Amino acid sequence: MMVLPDFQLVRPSSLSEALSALAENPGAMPVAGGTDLLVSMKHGLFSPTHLVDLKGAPELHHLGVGEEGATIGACVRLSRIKDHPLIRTRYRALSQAAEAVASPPLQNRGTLGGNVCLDTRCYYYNQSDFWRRSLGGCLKKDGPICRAAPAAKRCFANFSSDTVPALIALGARVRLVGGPNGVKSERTLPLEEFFVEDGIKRNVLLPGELVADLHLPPAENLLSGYRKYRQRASIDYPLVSVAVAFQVREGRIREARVAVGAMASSPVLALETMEVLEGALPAPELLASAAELVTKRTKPVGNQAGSPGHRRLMARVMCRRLLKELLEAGPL
Amino acid sequence: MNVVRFSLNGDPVEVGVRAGETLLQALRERFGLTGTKQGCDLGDCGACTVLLDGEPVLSCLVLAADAEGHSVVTIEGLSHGEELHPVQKAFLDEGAVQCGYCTPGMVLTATALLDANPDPTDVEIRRAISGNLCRCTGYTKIVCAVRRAAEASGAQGRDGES
Repeated sequence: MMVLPDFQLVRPSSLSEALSALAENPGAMPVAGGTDLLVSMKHGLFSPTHLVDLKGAPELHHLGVGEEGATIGACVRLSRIKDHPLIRTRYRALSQAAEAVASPPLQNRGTLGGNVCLDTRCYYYNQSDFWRRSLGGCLKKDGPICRAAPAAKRCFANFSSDTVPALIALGARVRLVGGPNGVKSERTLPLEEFFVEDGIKRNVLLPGELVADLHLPPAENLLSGYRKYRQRASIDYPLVSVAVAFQVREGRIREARVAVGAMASSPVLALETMEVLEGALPAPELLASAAELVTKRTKPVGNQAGSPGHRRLMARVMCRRLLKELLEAGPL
Repeated sequence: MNVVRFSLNGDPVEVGVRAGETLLQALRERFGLTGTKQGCDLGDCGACTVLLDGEPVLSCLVLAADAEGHSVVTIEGLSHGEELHPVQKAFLDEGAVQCGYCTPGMVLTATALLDANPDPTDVEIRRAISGNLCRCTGYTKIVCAVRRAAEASGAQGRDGES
């Protein structure tokens, strides 16, 4: 049996109570669905003094889709996003990504905020305490070196969220609330700026700060999709993932955005692919050349199943198939 | 200790649990409901599936304290006395059981699927049970059993109408 370490459970009934509980207890961690955090705690990767359960804060459960875009609270469950009829039609990439997270019972518990804040993953990190101690730990937990790239001075743990590449392709902005010392501040930034290319730090969240919600711009004429490559199609984390969103106006591709997941410690915007697509006429040769550039900014290391070269190849394959599918299908 | 009150297989219950106690531990050790299996205990295998407010969840990753105010159904709560639930009966008739360890989770997941979608396609069945791993690799008969249960309740529904 994998036993959870001791902690105190705090169950606030509002967002401000939750922020106060986090500020008062520096050793506390927030929890929502718990589908990632509780596994890591069983592995001895985190030993918080308190878990602050965010599910009781009604402010974090809002889900609204309208002409001005969509707003999705951090505690909205992935199954609700997957099944929402307007998200399915207007923000298809997000619905597909939510459906690709783990397995259906985990989608019934896991939340969007949790998936956005998902820990990075590595063969040498996501193991039991017993397993890790036989090697001597790694940079991310209790050790002197990176086990995946021993000569490197940094952690390369893999960015593994499914929803984030989709959200970034769709142009999402993230709203953060709270902060250290119980400061009730608020800031909003483009989701790609939330992440940092460092497997340990992962994102710009300050101690005591929380993701409150995600906002998506209007989805008029938007085509989008998400593709994921993984070992077992039913339950695994991505080895490669690609999200694409664009409009077709007067026969040309406009406002193309392409995001790649699981190929670095943060999501990567495929700027070269976006540039090739922008303003182009949809044609088979274009798809191939656009997809060829999708891995330009990625440098996967050997910390997942499949060699880095194989994962880069599959990123190009996923991108080409996704572009082809979107252009053939047209608007819903 | 946190005192938690919830509905368990239709009955109101009240129990003291540790903060770090999972619903799986509480069900097996405090209530003796060992039909809910512990497999990987890490959210991969689906052996510990229970229905929380009618939806399948993995009880190894749900804190017992999170059951507060909710309804939990385990495999023990499906049958009416000696009379098996239609999904249980279909698994039996179809021989959709090998070692049996995944069966409680499979049956509960299938029950939730048929409650929401009484006439699923094979793809929908396979997708619904994709989080429940069978290491005897007997998925074919499991899918047949779910289809059989759907057909049986469909027939029952039609008889009821006539």
